[in-house]
Amino acid sequence: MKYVLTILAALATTLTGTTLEKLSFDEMVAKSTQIVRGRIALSNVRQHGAIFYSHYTVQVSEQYKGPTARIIDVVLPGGTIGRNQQTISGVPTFPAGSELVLFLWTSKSGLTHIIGLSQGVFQVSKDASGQTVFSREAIHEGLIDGRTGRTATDGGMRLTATEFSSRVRQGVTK
Amino acid sequence: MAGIAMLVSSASFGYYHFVRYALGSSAYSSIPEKFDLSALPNNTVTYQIAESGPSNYAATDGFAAVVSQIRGAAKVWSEIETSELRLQFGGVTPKGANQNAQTPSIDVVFEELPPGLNGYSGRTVRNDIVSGSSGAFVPIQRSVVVLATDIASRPSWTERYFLTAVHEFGHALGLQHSFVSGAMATEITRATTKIRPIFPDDVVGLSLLYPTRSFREGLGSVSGRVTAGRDEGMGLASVVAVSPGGAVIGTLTHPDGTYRIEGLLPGQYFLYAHPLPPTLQGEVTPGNVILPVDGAGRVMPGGQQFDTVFYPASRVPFAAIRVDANQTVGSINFSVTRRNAPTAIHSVQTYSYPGQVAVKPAHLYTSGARNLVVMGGSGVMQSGLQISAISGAVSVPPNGIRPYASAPDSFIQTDFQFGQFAGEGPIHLIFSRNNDLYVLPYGLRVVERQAPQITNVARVDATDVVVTGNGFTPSTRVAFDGVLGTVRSFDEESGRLMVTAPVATPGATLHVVAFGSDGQSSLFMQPAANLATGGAELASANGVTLSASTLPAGTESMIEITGSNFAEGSTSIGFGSPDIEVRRVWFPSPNRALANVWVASGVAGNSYSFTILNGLRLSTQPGALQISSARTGWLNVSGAALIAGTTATVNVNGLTISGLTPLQLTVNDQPVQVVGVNGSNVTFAVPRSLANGVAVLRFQSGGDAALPLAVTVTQPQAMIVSVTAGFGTPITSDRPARYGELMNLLVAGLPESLPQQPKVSLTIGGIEHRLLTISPSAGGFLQLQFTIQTVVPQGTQPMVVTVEGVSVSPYSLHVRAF
Repeated sequence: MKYVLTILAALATTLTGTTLEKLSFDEMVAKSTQIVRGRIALSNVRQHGAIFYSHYTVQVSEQYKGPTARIIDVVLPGGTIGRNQQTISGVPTFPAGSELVLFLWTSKSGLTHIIGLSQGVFQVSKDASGQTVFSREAIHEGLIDGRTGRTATDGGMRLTATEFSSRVRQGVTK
Repeated sequence: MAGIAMLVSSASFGYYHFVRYALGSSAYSSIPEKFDLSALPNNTVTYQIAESGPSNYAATDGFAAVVSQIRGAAKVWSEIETSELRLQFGGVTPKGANQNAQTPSIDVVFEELPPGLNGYSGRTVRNDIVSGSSGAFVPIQRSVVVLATDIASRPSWTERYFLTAVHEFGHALGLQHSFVSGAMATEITRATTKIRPIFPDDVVGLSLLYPTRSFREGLGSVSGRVTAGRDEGMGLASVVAVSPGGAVIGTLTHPDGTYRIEGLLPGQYFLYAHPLPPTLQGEVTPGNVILPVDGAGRVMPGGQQFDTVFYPASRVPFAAIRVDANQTVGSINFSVTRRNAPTAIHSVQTYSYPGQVAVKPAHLYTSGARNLVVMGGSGVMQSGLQISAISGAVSVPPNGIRPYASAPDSFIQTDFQFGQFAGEGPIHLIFSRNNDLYVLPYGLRVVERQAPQITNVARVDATDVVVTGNGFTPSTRVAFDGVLGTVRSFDEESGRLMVTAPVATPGATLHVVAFGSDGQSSLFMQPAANLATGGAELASANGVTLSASTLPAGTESMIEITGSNFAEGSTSIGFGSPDIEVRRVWFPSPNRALANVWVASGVAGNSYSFTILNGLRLSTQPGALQISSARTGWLNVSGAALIAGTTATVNVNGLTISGLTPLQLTVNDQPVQVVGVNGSNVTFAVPRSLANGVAVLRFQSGGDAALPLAVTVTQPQAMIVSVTAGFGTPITSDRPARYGELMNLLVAGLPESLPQQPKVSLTIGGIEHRLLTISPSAGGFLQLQFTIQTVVPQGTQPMVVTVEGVSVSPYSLHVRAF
């Protein structure tokens, strides 16, 4: 029966058709090559063969995993070059200067991606007690409740900076 | 702005396309992104596959198998009869080679994808709105399908790899995610299988973008509006028409809440409206839908949460809507109740275990086999959950829902019992608890037999394979790396299928999968597939030669290809670029192919690789075709084919034709009679002696020759040109043929030379008639005389004539007693 369960779990964690696979926090820690906190800004969009990549510059303020770097070039597929706009479902966009925690993965070709598109993105904020909190909440761009004017949320994941560091350390040393 | 308003006025559909709205507050007609058919030769978009391929395969996997599966995925969309769009394999190509291609196309590329991402696709558009016959649209300049370089854990022969490719091609063509479990559903609720890779919802989705003239014939539609509160339109609500035990088709509402569901077969439907599911981990919007934008590029509001409701206002389906052919059922309106939080129940997946492998969606066996159904998803674990089916085919008995013993915190196990009329087909499920309601189309599939299982694969000779197994039927089909073999025989007692396998590289490993007609496959029980080795020999790429290595830009020309084992349907060629299009290929013999190749203007100086895919064998010749800037004459012929014994017109491009210059036109190197010249159009007599098949046209004017062109040749269709009675009274519906009357038939298109007493068969309403005379007539016609028998039923009767084995086109004859 253990075999059955293994397959069940593998199926159940497959996510959307564009085509994502849901990763646990520990899996993201294990599979990332760098985990950093920093401010992000779009620098340019370049064509790599048939794919447009939006290149973002991350000014690193804190490093949790991977080689130390002050500035990292991170890519997300899609973007606009001249009059041509390439659109890809499921790709997040970031307002300039957003402070984020990112789970990154650098390919053999040298491009650094965010793990699982928006799965590897945590927002940085302060909670009511003033503690720094890293959270991964759904992005509901443009989806506003007509009555309340507020966006809906899906629960996501929420950790204090201290908890986050601790869990990353545990994951790295596993 | 007025111009834009005029452009959008003809567009009326919503569905799940990538849309924008030119006007912000009124006239909500969506403008979808789609390929511009007028920019595509023969309504065909080519796709090129990057030659780099994946870099990390499962042990027996390889690039040829990947290409085969990708071609199969594209074919799924290309074969939708109610869509004008066709897809064509354009060969393999070096990475980035088509960056500046002029013709819209699809690039299939392989990338190192970060963990958590298995594939995606994108469309490149400009902010141009153009008008087409089916409304305004934004032309797709290019699309890209991105698949992973590491496919060791998702091999090419698996259902998931193939269905992901089908899904991503759907996006590339202009389809968004849908919410009725078809190919365009997210992988969570997708209920398609390899042998049944798309559902009616997908067919309608593509057909709305690229409709044939007959798409809507015989189909009906439903329209209405979804509102909340004081008549506030609910945008981006999903409205679904579900036929109990049958098709399910949905659409999304416009920003004002209006909707229209098209493509419904006549019948009874339940309608329901539901909000988009909440955003899941890894998604940026609900269902990862790209939200519509207004004319200024601003994201439009929509996607608000409300209680799911069946029409007219219930939590259960009880009021069915009757849809008739060519009719729209209007005013099917929903007044919904807003809610602050999303529904707790959503994104449910169902699994069954016909063997040791989880199959999704769950399959229930009427034979009483192991009917273990496990479900996971948001909101299924809380107590009070109720599950029912839209049809009465199955039901959940009391206490039929319990935690799944092997994973009691995450999954439930559900018992189902069959109703009196349970038969094979899909089951659409309803989940409810308190004020939460969730509908899962195609949540289960009822089947009679177990999935097929392969126990042995043995090669008999270079072409044939014996596949032995359990659960085979005469309708079982066998695929080799996604290409169906030809079943030669089936022995039910031994469970042996003799199958001719597609051509493959000798010694290559092929992955063999058996498919039942009920949508199941041997992958249900045997996910690793079974193996066979390639057998038939094929000349290597170096053994394939082209008659031309250089073509001028902006022309069309025939190229002759010599090689071996060529066959219609299993051999494809391409030049790795949408700017070099293979418009048509003929295979006069297994060693010879003739291809008309069109070259875009503006690509002079480029060189292109040549790809030939024969069955499962892929060969490439880099730099095989150079494009020159030479100014050369070239030909094109109006009409699909030359008809032997008639005249045809060829258009000569790029050459000056004057009455002072001798012209020579040949068909298969035999000079033909030129009967007229009008500008660049040359009309000629098509020799009567030409056989059905392909012929090569060549044209010369003085010392200048045009590029050759291949054309299809057909013999004329024999037909009845007139039916008269007695001394020439035409037979019509007002003046039918009468019992005992002498009839004269004039038939055209029969061979000129007939034996003195040709064999003729003539039936009217199935009654055989004896000929009185048969004789040649002026104009090349044949005259037949006979008397109408009194046993022919009155009314309009089919008249069927065959002369010396040549069938004459059927004719409807009006008959009356007196």
